[in-house]
Amino acid sequence: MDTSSFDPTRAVVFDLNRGQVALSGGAAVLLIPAEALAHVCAKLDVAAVRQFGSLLGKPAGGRVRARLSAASPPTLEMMVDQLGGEMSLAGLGSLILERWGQALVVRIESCPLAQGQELMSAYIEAALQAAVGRDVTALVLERGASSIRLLLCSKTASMKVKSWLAGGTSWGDALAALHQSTKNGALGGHV
Amino acid sequence: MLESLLARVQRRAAEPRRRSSVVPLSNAMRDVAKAVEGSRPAPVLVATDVAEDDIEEYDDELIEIIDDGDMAPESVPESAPDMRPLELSASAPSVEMRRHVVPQAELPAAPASTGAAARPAVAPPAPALAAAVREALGAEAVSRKPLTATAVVESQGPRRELRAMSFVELLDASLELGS
Repeated sequence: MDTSSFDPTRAVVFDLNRGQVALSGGAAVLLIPAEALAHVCAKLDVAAVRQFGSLLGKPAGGRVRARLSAASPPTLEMMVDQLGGEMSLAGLGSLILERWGQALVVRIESCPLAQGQELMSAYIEAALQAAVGRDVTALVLERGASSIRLLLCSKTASMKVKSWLAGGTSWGDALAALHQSTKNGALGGHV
Repeated sequence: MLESLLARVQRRAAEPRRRSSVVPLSNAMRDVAKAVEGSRPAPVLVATDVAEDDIEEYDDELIEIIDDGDMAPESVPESAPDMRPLELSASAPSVEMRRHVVPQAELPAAPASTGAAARPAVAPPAPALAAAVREALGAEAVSRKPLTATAVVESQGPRRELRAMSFVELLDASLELGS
């Protein structure tokens, strides 16, 4: 069986003498109930939640970059393994990358935070910025019972898609419209 | 004269069927003329003065008598008699046939059916015979020869597996959407 390239060996160190938990070679971390975190996030505004998510994602992306620096360029599978491993260690859920035409969509399964879409959106944006050096907008497409879908796009595209979603368009149709608008723009037409 | 003719006809009806049984009226008249030629004074044939209606009626009776004799079982001939058309004498009413040109629109719409109706009906063959005929005829079908196994599809430019593609390239392509 083909195994992941992410090696979780000694990824989390429990120093019971000092009463600390830390990631290997990293700063101390806390093990807190997901429900308590969700309760706190519900009290915060969107900007604060997103800032909290960025603070979680940036060091994760840095660790991914450190592990992938030898392999150039990293493949899609390698990125899913490494970034997904970081998220699994943090207990934030399972990472899946989908490709819808030309659009990359991040799908997070089994996220323990009931309303964690803004938190995870900020987490992904910061992680990718730190891992591959790209300014990415992770727009929330769908929040299901146990999954979150985020579209990796530019800020301009995210504004278009957000307006379509607000108008009642399904996210699938919005992706199709995004592709069509790109084609029209390439042909010199109006969107 | 008419009585003698009637007597002659009755005599003929009682006789067995001969080859030429339908005797044209003109021949009968001639026979009568010959029979009485040597023995008696020739009968006066006032054909020209006889009304056409009278002659027509006599002709019908003559024909009827002959036909009754033919229909009797004991008088059925072994071979079918020759059918000769009745010869019209000078006194008989003339029948003039003129070819009448029928307009095209008045022609029947189904000439095939008319022709079929005019043709004598042919009894369909028995089912067993039809089956035997079909089996004997058989169907000759030509199908293509079997093809040898070979590769039909050849793909060019094999598609790269998604997981093996560069993440940065895929991300950049996604970022280009809507820009």
